[in-house]
Amino acid sequence: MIVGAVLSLNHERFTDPVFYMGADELIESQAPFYVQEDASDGMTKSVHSSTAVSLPNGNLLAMWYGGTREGHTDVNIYASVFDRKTQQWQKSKPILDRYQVADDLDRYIKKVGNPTLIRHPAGPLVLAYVTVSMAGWASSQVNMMVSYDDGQSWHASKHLVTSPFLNISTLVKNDMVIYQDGTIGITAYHELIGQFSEIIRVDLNGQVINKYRISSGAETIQPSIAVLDNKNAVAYMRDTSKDVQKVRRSVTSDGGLTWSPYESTMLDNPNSSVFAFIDSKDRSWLILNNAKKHVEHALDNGGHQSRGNLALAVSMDQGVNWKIVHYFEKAQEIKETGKESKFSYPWVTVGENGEFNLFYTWNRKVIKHIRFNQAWLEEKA
Amino acid sequence: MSVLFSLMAHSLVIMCLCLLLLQVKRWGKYWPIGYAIAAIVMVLPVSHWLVIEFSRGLLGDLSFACILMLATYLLTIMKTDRTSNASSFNGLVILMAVVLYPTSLGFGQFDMYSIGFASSGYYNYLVTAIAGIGIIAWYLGYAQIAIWLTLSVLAHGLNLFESNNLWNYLLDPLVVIACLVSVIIKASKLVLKKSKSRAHNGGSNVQSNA
Repeated sequence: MIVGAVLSLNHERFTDPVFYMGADELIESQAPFYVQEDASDGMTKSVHSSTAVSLPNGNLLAMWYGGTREGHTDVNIYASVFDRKTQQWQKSKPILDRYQVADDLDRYIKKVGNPTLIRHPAGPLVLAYVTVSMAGWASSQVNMMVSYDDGQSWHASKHLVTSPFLNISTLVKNDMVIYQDGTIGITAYHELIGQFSEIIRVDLNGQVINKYRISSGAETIQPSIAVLDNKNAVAYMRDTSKDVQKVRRSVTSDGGLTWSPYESTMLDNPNSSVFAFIDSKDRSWLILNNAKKHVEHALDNGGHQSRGNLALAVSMDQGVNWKIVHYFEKAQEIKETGKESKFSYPWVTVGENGEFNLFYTWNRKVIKHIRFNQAWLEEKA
Repeated sequence: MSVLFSLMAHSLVIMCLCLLLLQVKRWGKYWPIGYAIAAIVMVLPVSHWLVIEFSRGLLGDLSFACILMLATYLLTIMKTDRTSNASSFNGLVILMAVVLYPTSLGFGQFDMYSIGFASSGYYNYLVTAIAGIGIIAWYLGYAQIAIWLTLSVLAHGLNLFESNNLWNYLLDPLVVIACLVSVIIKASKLVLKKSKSRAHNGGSNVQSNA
């Protein structure tokens, strides 16, 4: 017992978290710029949950999961590169399937999903994604892979143990954060009984260092963290409750170690994912579905579509007050078109040239990519 | 290395499950055949995986409370007076579950699970408390608790499994369910015994009155 206790007490310790800010991107063009294209190329019937990261050569690497349908065993994680010179997306290719993950982790894997990417300041790309072995998404587990050649090859997956319940019910969706000591904060959420947000702090070797709870209870998932400085950040969360239905907000002033009790913002949220980012003028921006009712399918709600638009909101006071300034998508009411539209799971990454790149799922068929710049945002703000 | 230890623990699960289903205790001198069947089942390929890999995928790494319980079951399965969990062991496992699980499921802003990571401010207290309970249990003669806690802390110290969190080495939902079932069975037996004894005493009284 004494030996065990001494060994346990000698485990590596990490200091309290301090956010890494990075250098501001250089802004090349000042003329407003806005271009839309498809990142996916129809390789699979269904696509969802895109993520992207800028590469040192100015290209973009995007990933998503695709297959017959969400959760099907034939779902793979696909990757595609946007070539900055040709301004074209290259043909997508599968980079990860459940068999490869199973071989890496020496266990049964039923399905894969929700990739999230970040470029570590030390160079490597880090991919966090979920796998399911037991039942639905609520029994997900998180895994991590690292690439040292900008995504051309990936080291074997590491399985992250993050829960005392057979290690189930930790999921990822939004952007990770980096800490000053080089550790990574994976923004995660829990879906079994309670539905709440947290940060899983890991090192580049995939060792889990600690967990920091952003929210508790059963109504806030998929945190998107806007880092303001080394110590301050704001988390915006998807509302899974049945009554309030607003984007939820929580703040930290100690690098994400502790978070304030969450509050409702003025922005509606029909139980759908949001994504926050900060522009070069320190304004807060949020991509969201600006709709009220909680309905999974529009037909259940008299034709009003909960994910039938994709809006851009801006805040000058760190997320307290918001103004909707633009719609990237705005479908007509279903009673007019007879078709349901769904625009979901936004993701924004900033390119090497300071350009903003928005990715989102378009009707589960296409991963859309919209490029815009600071000047375009200035016009909207 | 953690893969090897983890799969060994899952081979225990499959072995115990097979022996239980086969009722190998009733096989008399043919009991080794039962063990051989269980050993074969463990490594049967199903689709892309072995049965123990399925078990690992579904259950993850097992805690030492679970491993100890399964090992005890396996070692005593052929005996007529099979060893069951001590009440003290059941009680401590359930108590730990009551402390750990509600906050891990989102009740409150404090997460008890997070203090099992070495970088948590409370980690030293947790390790010291577990070591202290283990030593006291040994001193007081609660061997099952002492062995369980010693193995858990030692395995965590050696990073035997994937987890860096001490709680994952201590307990898991399987052992908590097993302990709850064990407590319920023991309590039911006690109630049944008491009611029988009361009925017996009542019967004796009637006879004596007659």
